[in-house]
Amino acid sequence: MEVKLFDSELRVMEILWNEGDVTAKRIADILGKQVGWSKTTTYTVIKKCIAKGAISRIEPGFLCHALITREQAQEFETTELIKKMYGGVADRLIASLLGRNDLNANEIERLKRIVKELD
Amino acid sequence: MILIEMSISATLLILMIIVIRSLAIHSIPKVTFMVLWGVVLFRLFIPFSLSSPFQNLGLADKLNGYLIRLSAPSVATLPQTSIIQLSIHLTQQAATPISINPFLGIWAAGLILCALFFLIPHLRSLLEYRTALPVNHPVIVQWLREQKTIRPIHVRQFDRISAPFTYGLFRPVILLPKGMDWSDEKQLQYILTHEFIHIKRLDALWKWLLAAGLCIHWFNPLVWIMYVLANRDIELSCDEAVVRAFGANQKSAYALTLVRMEERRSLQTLLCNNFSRNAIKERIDAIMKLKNTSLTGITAALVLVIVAATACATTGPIKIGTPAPGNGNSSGATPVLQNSPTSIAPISTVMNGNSLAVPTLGYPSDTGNVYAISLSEGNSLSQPVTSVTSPIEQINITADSIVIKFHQDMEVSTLNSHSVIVADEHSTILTYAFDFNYHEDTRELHLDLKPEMKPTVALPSPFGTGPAGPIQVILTQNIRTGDGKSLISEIDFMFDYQP
Repeated sequence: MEVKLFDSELRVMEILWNEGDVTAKRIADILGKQVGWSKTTTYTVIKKCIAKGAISRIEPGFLCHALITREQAQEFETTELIKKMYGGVADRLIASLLGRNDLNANEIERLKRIVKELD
Repeated sequence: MILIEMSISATLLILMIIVIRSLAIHSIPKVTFMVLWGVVLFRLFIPFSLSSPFQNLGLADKLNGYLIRLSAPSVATLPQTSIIQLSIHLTQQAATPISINPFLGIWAAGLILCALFFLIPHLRSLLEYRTALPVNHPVIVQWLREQKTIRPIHVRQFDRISAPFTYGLFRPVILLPKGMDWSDEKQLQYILTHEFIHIKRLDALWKWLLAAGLCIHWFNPLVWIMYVLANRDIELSCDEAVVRAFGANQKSAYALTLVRMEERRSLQTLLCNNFSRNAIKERIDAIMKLKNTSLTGITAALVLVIVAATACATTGPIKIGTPAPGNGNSSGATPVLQNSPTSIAPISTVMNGNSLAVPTLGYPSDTGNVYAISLSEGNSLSQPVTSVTSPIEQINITADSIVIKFHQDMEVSTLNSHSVIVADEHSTILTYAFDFNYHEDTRELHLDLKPEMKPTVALPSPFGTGPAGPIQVILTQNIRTGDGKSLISEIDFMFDYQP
């Protein structure tokens, strides 16, 4: 699924990914508390998600259902990142990740294992 | 028409400010320009000058009023000949104002287009900005705690902008781009202070007013220039305040922050790239050349502001097109009526606008109440209306005639309905209701109510049965004396008519 989701839309998706199908009203309640959005603002974002094909609306009760999974969204964002920042070459991203100094030894070890498995 | 006059006098001010700006931008406090632009805005919005709000209300304006009245459907009830007479009269008196209307339509269309051009993108982005997410960065939380403001300030982050900015007048929100360098605390401080100064100074309101001025005066290219320059000056003035707050030794660091923000911006908005590059160069220049404000600078700024404000207050809108009758006369009191105890009481009048009815003085007489006002330019209304040069000796008003007695012999052919206008309080010209008779032996002009106009019913209507309310008589400059001279200025008086 080739859909670019903005941060605001990801906040809505995050709720659906964590809680499963919930009503728009519940999303508005949660986000009202979390990020201070008004009800109308939340509904605007939900409608945007529906237009992008990320959410489907189920009646009755304006129940929201995620049409894309967290993994799909991650996949898309990663592809974007590789295209934009690493010239479309994935191993440069890996190199960059391995070169980070905020990774501890365990994490680096795990990354190396993943790379080896894919080899 | 008044709009074009306003625009032209504002244009002169704008030109003046542009010259000052290019000569002295680095030597006087930037806030001076904000004040100067404020004077221009005042000029653009307020149609009259401060000191003499009524000096420009000449006959031309009044006749405009008449034209509008005459186009009302009620005119259809007038006798045919009167209509012809009136139209001849009007083409002579006010030939130009009739051509205004198509321009008015174009202007209104431009205004609406301009307003939509500003409002639609603005409202659309406001809807988007609402979806911004809160920021919990410790530096920002700490900074917000330190600010004491009446309007609560919010700081949010947004993934669809590249440079920080503030929106909202009553509930200001500082919007930061999501991808900015959050670890650079100093840079964050600069940005927050810059935005905070915008909030404190109500710059959002300034921008609204500038946009409104531009929409109203869209046809004036200099107002567009003003819009661009004034918006830049808002930033320059804000930068100046930031540098002042942090100290001059930090100005290069602050300037670098601006450059960094600008780099990010130019990645996105290629369209206005070139233009904004000029603006950013000007900003950096201005910051780096900021000196400690010198006494000379402040003095110069003060002088400028005072000069501009005075120029604005006293010049008034510049008249163009038809020169209003009476313009040439600005020397003291215009003769209006003789102060004769037998006919008219002493007159002292307070004007309120250019309304024709100014009932401040009652004339205790069975002939009706008399108010005398000359609306022509240059009159000092507080002065007594007597004057040795007055051509009128006496005015008598009876139930069915107005008798104007002149000091000297008058040219009979000029005393007609073209040169003497009789109107009621609705500015409807009532010349059709009177017969004009000049008695050469007594030097009296008799305006006799036509017999058929005399009221026959209890509720007289201004059209069917003669005038009902206050009547205004205007003696225009078309009137000539026996030796061929015309009046120095028009003469104008008003009275209650009770048949």
